[in-house]
Amino acid sequence: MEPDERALVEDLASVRFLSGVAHKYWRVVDRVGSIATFEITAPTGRQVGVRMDFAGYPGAAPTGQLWSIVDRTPLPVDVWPTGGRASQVFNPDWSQQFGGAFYFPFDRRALDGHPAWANDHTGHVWGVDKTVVDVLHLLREVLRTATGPSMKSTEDEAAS
Amino acid sequence: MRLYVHDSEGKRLVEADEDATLIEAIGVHGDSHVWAEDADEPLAADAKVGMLAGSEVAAVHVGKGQITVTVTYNGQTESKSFGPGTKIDKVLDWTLSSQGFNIPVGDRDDLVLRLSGSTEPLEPDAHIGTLVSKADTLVLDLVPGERFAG
Repeated sequence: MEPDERALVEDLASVRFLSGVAHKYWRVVDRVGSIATFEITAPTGRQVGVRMDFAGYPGAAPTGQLWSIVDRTPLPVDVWPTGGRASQVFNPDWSQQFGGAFYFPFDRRALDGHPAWANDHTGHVWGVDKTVVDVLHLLREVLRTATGPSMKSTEDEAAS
Repeated sequence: MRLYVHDSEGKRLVEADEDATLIEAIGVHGDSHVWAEDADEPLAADAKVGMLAGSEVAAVHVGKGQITVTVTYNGQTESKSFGPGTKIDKVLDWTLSSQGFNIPVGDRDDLVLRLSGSTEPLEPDAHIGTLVSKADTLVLDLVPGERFAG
């Protein structure tokens, strides 16, 4: 097992991570090496799949994309969460140039082009003290602000 | 049974027999009590581990007494006392509600809690008793979540 995968496996077994599972904040859908897929549930009940590549973890931040758990493909843009902070973090105009990356400081592809974020967002600076749990909490916080698409349309997408 | 045990040091997992008392299973000493997650009052001294079997999450807090939480939002403050095992998520619900700052529904989901003067995120399942160490007061800010731009 490579060091990044080993570190990820350890963090997926941590009390912080398992507490999030127990509270139904998220669940692991699958993991292959250092690539893991999660389902995240916001306090509003909105759910979304995310697939994250943890190559170089924890020295490097992961990079991720929205993911259809049913189809095992990137989530179609027309059902991406929108509204509030979700429209900024899940920004198709930007992220489609970067493999669907999340526009926030816990995604290494977004971080590459934004060195000022380390000073502007001191509470969200990636370092070896950060783990997959911090990424999932931030994604959940962002997902909570989403107002679209309708919850029914995303449930239909999941059921189709 | 798997128990999440929180205290002023953080949280840990304990495997406990359902027939054991919580105090025995966790190893509580001195004048501390065991509080169920989000409860306003401590559990009885002879409460068994098994009584948590029906809970959504078998999580408890080891702490002494209630904590007074004071939250500032837009220059106004509101205070309320909670058990030390209360999750940050529950405190947030109170601040947004009509008992707190009565935030309009459309504005609620953008607001987050932070330690006063800090930008570090607070985990929603963190118990407030973990955030105060030995004090019995907790001061928080209710602020919009950070927007990443540039």
